[in-house]
Amino acid sequence: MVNPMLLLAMFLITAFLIALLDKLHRKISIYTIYAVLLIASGMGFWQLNTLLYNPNLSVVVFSAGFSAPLSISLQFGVVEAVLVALLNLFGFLGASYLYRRFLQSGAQAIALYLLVLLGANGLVLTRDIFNSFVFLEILSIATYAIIAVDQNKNSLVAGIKYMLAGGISSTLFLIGIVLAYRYTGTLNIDTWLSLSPIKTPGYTVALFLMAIGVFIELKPFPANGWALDLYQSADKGVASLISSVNTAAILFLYYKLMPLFTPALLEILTGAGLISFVFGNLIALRQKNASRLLGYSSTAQTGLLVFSLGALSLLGLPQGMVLRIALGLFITNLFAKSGLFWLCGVTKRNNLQDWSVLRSDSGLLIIFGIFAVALMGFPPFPSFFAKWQIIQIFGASQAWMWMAGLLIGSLLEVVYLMRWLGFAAKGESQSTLEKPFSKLFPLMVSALGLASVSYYLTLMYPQIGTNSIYPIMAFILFGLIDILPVKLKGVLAIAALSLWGWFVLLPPLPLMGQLFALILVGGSIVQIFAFMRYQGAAEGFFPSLTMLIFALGNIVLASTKLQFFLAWELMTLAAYLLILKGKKARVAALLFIVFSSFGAYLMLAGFSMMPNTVEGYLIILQANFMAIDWLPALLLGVAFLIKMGAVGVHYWLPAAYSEADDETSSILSSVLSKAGVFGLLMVLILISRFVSSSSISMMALGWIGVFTAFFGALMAVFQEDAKKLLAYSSMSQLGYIVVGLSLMTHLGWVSALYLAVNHLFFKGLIFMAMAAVFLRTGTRNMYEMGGLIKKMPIAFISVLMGIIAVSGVPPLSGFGSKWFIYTSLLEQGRYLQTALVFFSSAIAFLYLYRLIHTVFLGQAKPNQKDVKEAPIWLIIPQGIFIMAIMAISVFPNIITKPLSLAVGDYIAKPEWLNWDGYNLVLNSPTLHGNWNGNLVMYVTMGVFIIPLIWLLLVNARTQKVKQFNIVFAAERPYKPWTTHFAYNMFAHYEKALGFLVKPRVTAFYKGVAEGFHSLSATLARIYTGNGQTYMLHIFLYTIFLYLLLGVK
Amino acid sequence: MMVLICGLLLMLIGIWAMLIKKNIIRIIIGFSILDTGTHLVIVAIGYVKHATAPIVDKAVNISQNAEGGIQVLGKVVDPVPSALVLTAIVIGLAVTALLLSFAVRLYKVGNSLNINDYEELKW
Amino acid sequence: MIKYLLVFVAIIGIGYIFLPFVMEFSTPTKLNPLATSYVQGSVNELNMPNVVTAIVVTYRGLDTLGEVTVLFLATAGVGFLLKRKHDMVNHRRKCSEILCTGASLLTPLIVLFGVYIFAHGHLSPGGGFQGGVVIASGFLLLVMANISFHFSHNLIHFSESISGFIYVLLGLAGLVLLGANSFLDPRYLPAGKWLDIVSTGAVPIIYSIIGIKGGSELCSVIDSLQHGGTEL
Repeated sequence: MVNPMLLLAMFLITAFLIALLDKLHRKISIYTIYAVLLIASGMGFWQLNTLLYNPNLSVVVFSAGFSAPLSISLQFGVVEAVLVALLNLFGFLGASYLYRRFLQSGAQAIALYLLVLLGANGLVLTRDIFNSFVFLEILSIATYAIIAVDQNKNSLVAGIKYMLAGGISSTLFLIGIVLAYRYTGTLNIDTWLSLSPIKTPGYTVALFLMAIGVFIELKPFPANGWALDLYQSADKGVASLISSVNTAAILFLYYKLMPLFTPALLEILTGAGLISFVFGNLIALRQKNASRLLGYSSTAQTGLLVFSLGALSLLGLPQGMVLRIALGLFITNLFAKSGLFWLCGVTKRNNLQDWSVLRSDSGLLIIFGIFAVALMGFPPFPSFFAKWQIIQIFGASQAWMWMAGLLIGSLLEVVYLMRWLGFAAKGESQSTLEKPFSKLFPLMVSALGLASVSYYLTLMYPQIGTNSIYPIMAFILFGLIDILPVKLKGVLAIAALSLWGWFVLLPPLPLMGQLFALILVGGSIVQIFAFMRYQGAAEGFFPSLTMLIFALGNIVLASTKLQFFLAWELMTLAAYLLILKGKKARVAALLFIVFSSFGAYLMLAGFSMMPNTVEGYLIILQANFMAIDWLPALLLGVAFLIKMGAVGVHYWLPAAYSEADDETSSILSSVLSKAGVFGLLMVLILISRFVSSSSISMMALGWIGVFTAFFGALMAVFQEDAKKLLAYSSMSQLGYIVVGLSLMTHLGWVSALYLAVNHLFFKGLIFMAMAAVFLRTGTRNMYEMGGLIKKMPIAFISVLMGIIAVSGVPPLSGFGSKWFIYTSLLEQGRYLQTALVFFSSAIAFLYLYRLIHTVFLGQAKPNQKDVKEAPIWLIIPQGIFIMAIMAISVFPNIITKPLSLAVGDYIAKPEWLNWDGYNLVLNSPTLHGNWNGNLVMYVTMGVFIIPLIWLLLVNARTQKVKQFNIVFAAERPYKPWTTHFAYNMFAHYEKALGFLVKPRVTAFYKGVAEGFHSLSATLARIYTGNGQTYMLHIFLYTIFLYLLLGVK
Repeated sequence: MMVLICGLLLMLIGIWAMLIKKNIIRIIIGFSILDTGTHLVIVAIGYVKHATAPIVDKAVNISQNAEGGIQVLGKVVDPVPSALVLTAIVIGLAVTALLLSFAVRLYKVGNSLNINDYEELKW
Repeated sequence: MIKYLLVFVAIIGIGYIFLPFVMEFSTPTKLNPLATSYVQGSVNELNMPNVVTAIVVTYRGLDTLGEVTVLFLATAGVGFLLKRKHDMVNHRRKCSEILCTGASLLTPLIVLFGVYIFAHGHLSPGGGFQGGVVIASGFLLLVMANISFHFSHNLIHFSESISGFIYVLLGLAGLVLLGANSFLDPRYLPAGKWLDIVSTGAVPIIYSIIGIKGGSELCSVIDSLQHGGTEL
């Protein structure tokens, strides 16, 4: 084994001799410390390797030839080895970031830097409490001094504040150590641990002082003003050092002391950690300064680690597990936070909005994305798994408060990090960056390191299975070949996905699963064609797109909760990246990811209260034999309703659907929303034993569906933007599906799923056709279009087919699905809901009429004379969808029979229900009917054809009028388009019904957002910037915690 | 006991100076007082009634035992806090020296030693 | 006003925290087991009368190594912070004849006393740090008294570096000669006779090195404060 004394001796010798080496040449001393740090890191890895093969090796070394407690002992076990390896590696990376500073500032800075690392290593290794104090002081003093590499006023002031705060906390620590020595008679932690518990108030005071001394060094809210100022003003290399190496070492000291604490003390500090996590993130919400934001985030993450270590220990988990979970959080924070600080130093932009400079540099942007996404705890990064486990454990132990705090804090974190990422990806691009290699190198290493650690962790993680890796692999592979022409990538993606779908995905699935696999994966594959319309490489689409589709498949294929959640999060992330590609999609993408994360956290909480699933046996099969309580069902249900855009939580939907690129919108609307349907269906299966159609919960769900359908349709009517119209229409259709599912009957579910399939076809079709229109006309406002029937006949036919299908007019399949829903609603006696759903269908007519009329009929706009038909790549999916619609319209049995079989696995088909095509025979106790749909189809076709012929005859006598000829007839209007009939087309309806579509939901969410921001601003006021106030905070905080502890 | 209370009082006085005085140099003096108080407390904790310094010389009774080893019979104070306080003093000195040089540097940059004049970083 | 109130609360509160400890504190009448074994061990195993030195240099030698590092850190930090491109003009008045002469007369004596203190650290009260401080105070007197006095930067840095280096080497010698658990063990040299100046293994050497190290660090701090830091 490696003798840790040698490690320390190496650091010391180098630090002492660096001044002499420096006399030879500055570069010699710099490269010497690089070598030392790398060797030290290597020693850590070596020790780790030795211990892996030789786990029983003695890992404790004494000094001076005496054993502890007489002498000081160092321990170099697995955890220490990991920390030594990582901290020195990051020390090395940080040193390479500071290369230029070192060149300028001399041997002292180099020696000081090395001593920071010495302090950190010593702190990790030592098992003696006073020795910890000495190393803590070496670490702190070296850090104080190295702050001065940047000798501007702000960093000097921050340095003084830091030193005063550090001085106070180390004094408290020291006095605690000595007071405790009075009781224990030892300074060695291991000997101390073996003592029988001491229960006098004085000893508790000693422990408290010791603990609080270390705890304040961990920068807990609100006693952390000094740290924030420091992060903001110090050189970014130093800030990174403090947030990673420094904090990690002190955190480990805290961990070493934890077993000494009394449970009451540990509880208080754990709670304080959680407070720090939540409030740190809350205050970060309104930060505009990047470094300070990172400071808040850093204190929050440290709080999270303190909290997790404490909470999991308090719950009595084995230490190995506690450490593994904490290590997941720790590694993510180490890589990502130091990376982000370095990135701050490279961009040299303080204002978050100015981070758009990264747009000109996709490499840095990707690195930034990796760091940000990892910090938020998205898969496949270690923090994802750590948070998953923590929440599962909290759920099993019913630690609701802790769970709520953790999730709220995480959500706040998502908000500000994603906003920042949005600025970087979508802001106004500016100048280029100066990128010295010495600064790029550590960035690249940490991004790559984080990515590969995550990749292997995911591979090795139990209960995941190979399938879960595919989305990530697809993302990486398509990322690597992203420079290839888009057509080639499209073919590759279609081939890969089809093969996977056919040979891997479909075979193990039951009928219901296959159905959803076809909707989710099949539906998406068809739409890949649309992406092939781009010229050149069209970078950025395919990695996310393929990840999205694989993840969608995995949702159906999941056999454990973790697999499901992993796939779900990957899907969300991929969709976010796709939405973000839209030109003005910054805010829309942010809304999407915030609402999605909110949903995901609800889901996480819900899953934690659900019994475990058996690996290797699909969830949708297991669901039939399992049952869950009402609370997890509620949480999961809301989570899935968010994805579907149910009324109230639909706020993100119109923005995301309309601002994303057109192909993306199509996938979002036609496919992604069905993932929510799948989830909701699963929840309903899980609770199917307890609820029936007449339960209050299902009635409520039904009303949610009805109102979603109703308000969605109503809001669609008043849109000028065709995409917004389609977005609201989508929402409305999903409402019908919810209503159908809420019935909990065979017919209800069949009708809901029938509509789901239909919705995929017709919404995909309309979106594709309209994508072509937007592409050619360059606008999405309907009043700016007109008469496109002649220029784009295929698009017209597609939209016509689509809207016939949507509106439920015979002869197309939409009619069948609507009628099924009405019938099943009536059969369950929900007359009021039927009426409102029927009314919504009438409203749907209005917006659909508007869509086809204003865009395709009427007169062509002068500036749109030269528009052409859509590119073939947009027509292919349209053709496929049209064929699909025709097929199920003419032979409805090919879809309804399998649906009935699939639903039959969960709710058996009643005897009295039969159908053949559209010919539905009901003999239920409540409703009787026999309706021959086939006959009606011919009649209706006749009804349509006769007026058409008449119109064609009459058409010959019409006279053509120039558009906008009001301009010549009277005075020139200021805004000529307002005179167009298509502008504000349903103004008269708005007078009658407009009060229903007042943006109440928007107002609500705006209010929530403003509330949080002003709370954030108010809380930030405690950081007055005055060093004395900060000291006062520390003392008052200490007293407060002491009073909480209540020593008698 | 008296020394212990004196040490604690010194600590409180140091804290008072750090929290009330506006001049950075005085704050640093407060810190020094806090430090000194701590050292007094440490030494006080090591005291044993009626004992001498832990140096085995004529002042301490010793006896030879059977194996030739020396048995210390006289009372000495606990040597551990004495050893610890030595380290603590040096560390206190280092922090104070650094604080003072920060203050010197800051005075050159900002031309003031009033801590209220340096509040630009906040919120 | 509210601030004064809060400060008052803070001080009362901190005092209150210590209350339980003070309430139950009573001066002990005998040593705890650890201290007893230190006293016995120092005399029997290390042959060292000064138990504090035994703890500082041997038993808890790692702390002392850290302490030396802290001192080095302070020097480097102060030098780094107060670094100046050009020496400032010295406005001080030249010292009087008495002061100059007195200072030159006293300095060698003070330095000699310092050496005495660290060389006898294992036998009597005193030790490396104390000796180092006395030496530095001698040079401080010289600096204060004599405006033309300059330290040789190279000499100070050299003695700083080399003495630190030797200290670590002396520690490593234990590791090499006595085994893996013997970093900083001085017993590779003979224990010598009771109360001899050359006794107790390598302790006198180590303490001397610490004395030189401490003295030169403090001289370096004085130099930095006097003339501004120097480029190492």
